[in-house]
Amino acid sequence: MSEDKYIKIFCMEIEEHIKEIGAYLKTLADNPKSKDAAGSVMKSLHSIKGIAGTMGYSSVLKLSHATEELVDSHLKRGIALDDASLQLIYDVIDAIEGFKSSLPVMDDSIIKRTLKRVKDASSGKKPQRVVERKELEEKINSSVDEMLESIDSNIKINVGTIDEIIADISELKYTEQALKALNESIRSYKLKIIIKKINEQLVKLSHRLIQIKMQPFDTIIEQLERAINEYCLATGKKINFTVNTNDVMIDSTVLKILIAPLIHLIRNAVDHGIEPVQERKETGKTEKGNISLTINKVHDFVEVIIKDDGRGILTEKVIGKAIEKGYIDERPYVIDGNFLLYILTHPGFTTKDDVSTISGRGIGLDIVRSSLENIGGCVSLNTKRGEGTQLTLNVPVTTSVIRALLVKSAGETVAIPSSNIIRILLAGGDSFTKDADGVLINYIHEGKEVEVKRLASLFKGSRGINGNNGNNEYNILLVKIKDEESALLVDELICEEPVFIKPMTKPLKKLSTVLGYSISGDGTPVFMLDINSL
Amino acid sequence: MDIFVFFVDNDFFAFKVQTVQEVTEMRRLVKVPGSLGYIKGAINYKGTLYCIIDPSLLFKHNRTHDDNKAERDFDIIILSDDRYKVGFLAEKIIGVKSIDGSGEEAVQAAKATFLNGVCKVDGFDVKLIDEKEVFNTIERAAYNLML
Repeated sequence: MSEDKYIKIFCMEIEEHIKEIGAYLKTLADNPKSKDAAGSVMKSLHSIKGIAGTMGYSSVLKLSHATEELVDSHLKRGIALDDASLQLIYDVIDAIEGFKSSLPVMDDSIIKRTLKRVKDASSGKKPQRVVERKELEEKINSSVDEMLESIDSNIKINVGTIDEIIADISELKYTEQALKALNESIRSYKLKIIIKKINEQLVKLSHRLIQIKMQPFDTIIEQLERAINEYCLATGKKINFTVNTNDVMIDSTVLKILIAPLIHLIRNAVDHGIEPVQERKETGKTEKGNISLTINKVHDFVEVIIKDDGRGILTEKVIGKAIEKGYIDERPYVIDGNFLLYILTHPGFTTKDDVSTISGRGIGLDIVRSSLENIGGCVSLNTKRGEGTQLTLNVPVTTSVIRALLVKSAGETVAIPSSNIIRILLAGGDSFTKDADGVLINYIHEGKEVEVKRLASLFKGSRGINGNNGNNEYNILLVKIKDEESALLVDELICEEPVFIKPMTKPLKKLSTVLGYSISGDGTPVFMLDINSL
Repeated sequence: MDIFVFFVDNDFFAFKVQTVQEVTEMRRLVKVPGSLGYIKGAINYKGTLYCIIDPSLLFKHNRTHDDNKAERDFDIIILSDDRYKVGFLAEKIIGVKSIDGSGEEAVQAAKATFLNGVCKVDGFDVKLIDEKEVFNTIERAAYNLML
């Protein structure tokens, strides 16, 4: 270790003790007879003595030793430290501070003078405060420096305040859109340029603010690990918790919202998912249960996977309970993760019997789901009896802005996240395979057949032109839906821009087709489509 | 019991008076992708998204007559529920009416989804809408779409 590092360590340790002495001197000023406070001052002086000795700073060692003796003699004689003595000790810590600041030069002139005063006081002379003009000036200057240092150039700002500023920007964005709409009738080139500039600046500003809000996912891992350890101690289970955050960064508002659901799901995995050691041995599993947490960034979303190798959900019992409670009339034909989630997240579906890995936690799971839905996220479940359960949470990287392509279909404007779009194409009618009625079935893209989907089909009773612009040409968005490429037919392309999204309100909140909505320049809502629902 | 009566497509409907927050003029309804047929659309009302329901479509698939043109003169009844942001279309607002008896005795049981029952007002049958059932059905349907 370099000498520099030793000095840094010395300074850091000394600083702690100096702060402690300062605090106890305040106590002694209020209560001069406090033996505890005087004892604590001695202890800190003793520590300083030790550290100074290790570093070879003999003058500091001598001063702290003499001051310790002074306090000790008062304590032994049962005499309270008077104001003059307290002032002297303040001067001692100032002298040590001064020495510390002079390092590595080791200016101990003040230390030596103060040592003389301490010795005088110990021998019965009333301590006198000798402050030379030069020393006073130095003191004032160093106080100014300290005060300047205490005003940090980095300030803390509440995330809520940033959110409020972003909301204000989104209001400005609506104004900008209103101007744009107005200019369509005025058609002023100058105004067009101004609007463009406003738009650029708003985007830049919102992006900067969002960057400020970003935090690494790692920030909450320690908290989760601690929770796991506590649950292990409480249940007597042994668990191997593995984490892979892939250095994903996420909006701190989203991260905050995720903490409670994650702790809840991990607790469920420990409590109900992972079997007791004996049961695991009997089923041929390792003594230690495994819970893994994996974080992936998928376009504008963060995927959080919590997986355990426990006993899985007892599907039949969950269904039995759901019928008993009247949530469903009969056993459904298809039972999958979504169906189980629908039952398990039913408000009030909480059973005290141990029916599943997440049973007895119905209310909690409902809260998990609604917390995610509030920010345009969702949860999915996969479980296999005897093998474990996997819960996947999908949340937006940020709740504030998503870059999206605005398109029109069936007379309605919708926003499609740009991250879902691979390519935008204008295709001739002969680029498609058709059925006997001439309905487009597949689009032939680079020799491959890609399934055609119609955005207009999402609007009931729509009179959409299904992407045909009248010249036997079609507007196509080549999108990725659940890892498969699809050709999405839209009537009109409007523009690509950052869209400020708000979460859906009830009862539309659970609608899987939309991620949220924004407000257009004319005050009407524009829905942000969840392409995976198509 | 006081009820708030309105008229749509040859039928009288009503809510318990305390259910109604206010009445606002018709505005452009934006279609909600993938939503149920009786959800006519959504509006931005005082900065919040409201889902707008056509009550006549709760009980039949289509309106008796094509009134898309007349819809411009409709009103929207905003309900006062704290959690659910919902409005109902009204062709004509009749207003608050008192019906004899309190609560259930005044309302004749009528076996139909979305209905609390039917009551008589000035000799006409008025369908008292069970708005909670409407909210729950929309939420359940959202799940069905997902399944």
